[in-house]
Amino acid sequence: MLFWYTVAVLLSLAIFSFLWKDNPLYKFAEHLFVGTMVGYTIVMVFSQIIMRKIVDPITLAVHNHQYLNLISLIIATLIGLLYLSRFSQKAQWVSRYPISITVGFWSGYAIVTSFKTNILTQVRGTVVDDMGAPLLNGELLGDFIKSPSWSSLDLAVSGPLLVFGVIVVLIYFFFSIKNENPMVRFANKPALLYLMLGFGASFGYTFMGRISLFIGRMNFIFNEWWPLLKQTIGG
Amino acid sequence: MKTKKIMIILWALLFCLPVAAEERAPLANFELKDTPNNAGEQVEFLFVPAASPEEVPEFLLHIAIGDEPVKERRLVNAGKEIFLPLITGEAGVPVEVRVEAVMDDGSLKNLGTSSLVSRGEWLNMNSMKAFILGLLFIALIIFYVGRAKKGKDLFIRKIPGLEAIDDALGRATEMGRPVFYVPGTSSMADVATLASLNILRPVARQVAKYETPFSVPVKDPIVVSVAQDVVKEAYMAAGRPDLYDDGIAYLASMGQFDYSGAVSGSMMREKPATVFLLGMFYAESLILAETANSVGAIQIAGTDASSQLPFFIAACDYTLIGEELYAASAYMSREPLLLGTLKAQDILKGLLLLLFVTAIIFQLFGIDFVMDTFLKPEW
Amino acid sequence: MKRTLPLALAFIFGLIGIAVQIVPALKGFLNTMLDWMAIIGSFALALGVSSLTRHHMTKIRRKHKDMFFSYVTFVTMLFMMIIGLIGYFQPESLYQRLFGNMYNYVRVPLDASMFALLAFFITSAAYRAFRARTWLATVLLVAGVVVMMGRVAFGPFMIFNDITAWLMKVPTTAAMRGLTIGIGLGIVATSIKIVLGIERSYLGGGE
Repeated sequence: MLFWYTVAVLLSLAIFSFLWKDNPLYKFAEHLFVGTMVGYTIVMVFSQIIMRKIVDPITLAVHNHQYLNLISLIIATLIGLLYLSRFSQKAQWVSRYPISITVGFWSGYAIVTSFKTNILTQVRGTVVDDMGAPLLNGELLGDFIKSPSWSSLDLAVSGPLLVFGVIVVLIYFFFSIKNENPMVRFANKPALLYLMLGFGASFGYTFMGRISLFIGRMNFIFNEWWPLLKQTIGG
Repeated sequence: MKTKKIMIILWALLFCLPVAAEERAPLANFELKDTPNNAGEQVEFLFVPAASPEEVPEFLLHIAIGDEPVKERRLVNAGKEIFLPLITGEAGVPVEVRVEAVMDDGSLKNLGTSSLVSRGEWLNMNSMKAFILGLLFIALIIFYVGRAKKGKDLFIRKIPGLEAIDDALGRATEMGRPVFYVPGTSSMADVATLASLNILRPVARQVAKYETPFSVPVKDPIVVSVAQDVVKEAYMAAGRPDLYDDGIAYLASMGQFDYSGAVSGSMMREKPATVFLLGMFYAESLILAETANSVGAIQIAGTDASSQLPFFIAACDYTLIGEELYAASAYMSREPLLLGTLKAQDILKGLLLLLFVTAIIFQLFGIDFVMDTFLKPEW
Repeated sequence: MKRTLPLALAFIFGLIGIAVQIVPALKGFLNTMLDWMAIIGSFALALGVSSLTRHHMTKIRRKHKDMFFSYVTFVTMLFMMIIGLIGYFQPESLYQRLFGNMYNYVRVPLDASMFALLAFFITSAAYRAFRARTWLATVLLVAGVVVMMGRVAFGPFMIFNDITAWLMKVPTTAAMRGLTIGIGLGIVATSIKIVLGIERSYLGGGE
């Protein structure tokens, strides 16, 4: 156990040494990392795809006489094999077939998912909130005027500000309208303000999470490995 | 859904009225229905008790789905209608539900059966809206591409990140240092990767013209092949096939952080003057951007990953924000076909904005029509 | 054959990609297609590995000063592959345990340490943003600092917590939503261009 823990600690330190400068220790860790990961991926592709999605289903299909299934699997495998044409100078272009199939399928697939999740859901979420109440709500403004307080102000203006923000950001990204256009000129500054507030806030939000990653690594060295080392040497 | 329920209730009432005069009203109304817009993997059972809970405290359902053994299910009569989805798994499965009333004295009274065969639909009517929107988009594209082809000038505003590319490449040439191009760390399944490969072509052509050393480290095996093709054709288009080498675009590694480790290492050793980080990125974005900065490279970044944009904005010299990445290929190539689609995209956005504002205004007056007709995300 | 068929394939499979989602009766077919994509993609691994091998072989052939490290990559790659494959056919064997240990005590700590480097990179990026003197950079920085404080706020500083919540709820949501909608349109436009064969850079471009 101590052996593997020590390996882990030394490799971690080798990676951290990159902050000082590029050095042989980092180079070693980096190349070891690449080798490990590529070797690991090969094993995973072999066990999870070649075996589980090709060999096993084909055996099963033959056994159960599911010929339609069998044909589908064999076609997919043959298309995949076309990639290997790249190893030949002459037949290299054949590899474009699997590439266009992959690219075509995922593009078509993305059309529907983006329409659904990126566009419709987001637009809808800007008209009404999760509970189905409209974001622009005159009543809430009335409430604020009747009894002004921070929380009623928040309730009254948050919705409208959100809607306004989405609209100006959308206008900011029009490509074919000249900058002198009054609508674009009007939206420009507020859109940048929203974007920078948003980016800054996300940055700050992630900051603490990243710091804690480092603390986690230090924890491993000082609270797991070090006691183990002391125990092994001492005992 | 609502109308369906109302219909059933009305139908039930209509049925009840004349009969009630002679015999007794039926104790419950029920119907087995095919769930619309699915592949037949589910049917629904709608149950409306008509008898009072005192008279019939419970109902007993005998549910038979396909070859499975008959299941019994008790429904407590709360005077409310009950909607019961039944999983059939696939189309073509016969389903039968027999209903018995458990009377207050414990005796059972048969109320009849309802049956059907589950059915898959060919069209999901809910998704027709998106489909129509898609067709509209295609029509707009065809229209504007036609205009662009006729030579009508389509204006595109300046995108600073793309304007900077030429200078950045020139700088690398002057300094005699290489150019790095990272086409994101995702696969072909991400359209952002394709958008990045579209920008790779003009960049590679320029690099070949300037005879600048070029390196395209990639993380995904399919992206490697495509990137090699793109770079090769670009070098040929620039008239410098002699400078091309299959090793320009290469697989640096296959995992997230080993890849960023390897690319950061290469940056440290080869000291590129210009680094492009365009495509889909995850947490590794900042490792790459900061390492590029530490070797004094100009970084031109761009991604549609909104979670990584803050880091690129903070750390890079130029950042293509979100959809600017997608507009880049039209912007750089100035091809009428691509410019036409960009214009069509803007028009569609305008329409969407209009729809959005209309929906808001209608909502303000409590009218859900626009919302429910155009902006329902359910499929 | 060299160009028309690939474009036709992209078109046909693009339509399939759309159809499996909007035609409920084809839902079962979606899984078949996803399997297809996994199967087809798995063969590209050979190209990837050969590209990586070539990259390091070139270094070794040119007697690059870092050629020793290229050997490190080869040796670990082969080692992982061999113990992994033997381990697959002999579960519970020494090989499989070794493969597991290599994963847990080599890959995982390397991964975690590389990830942890972000703690330093995010600090240096913040520092550089601090030096930029445009109003936009200032807005970015102020929002960032407020949120950082908001996440660790206590006692009298709890006001930062409230401001953070508001910043996340209103401007951040608005900005991200506007971006997301635009990105969605960009994705759809690019995808349509590819399916219709207008954008063909992925085939190397050119005519």
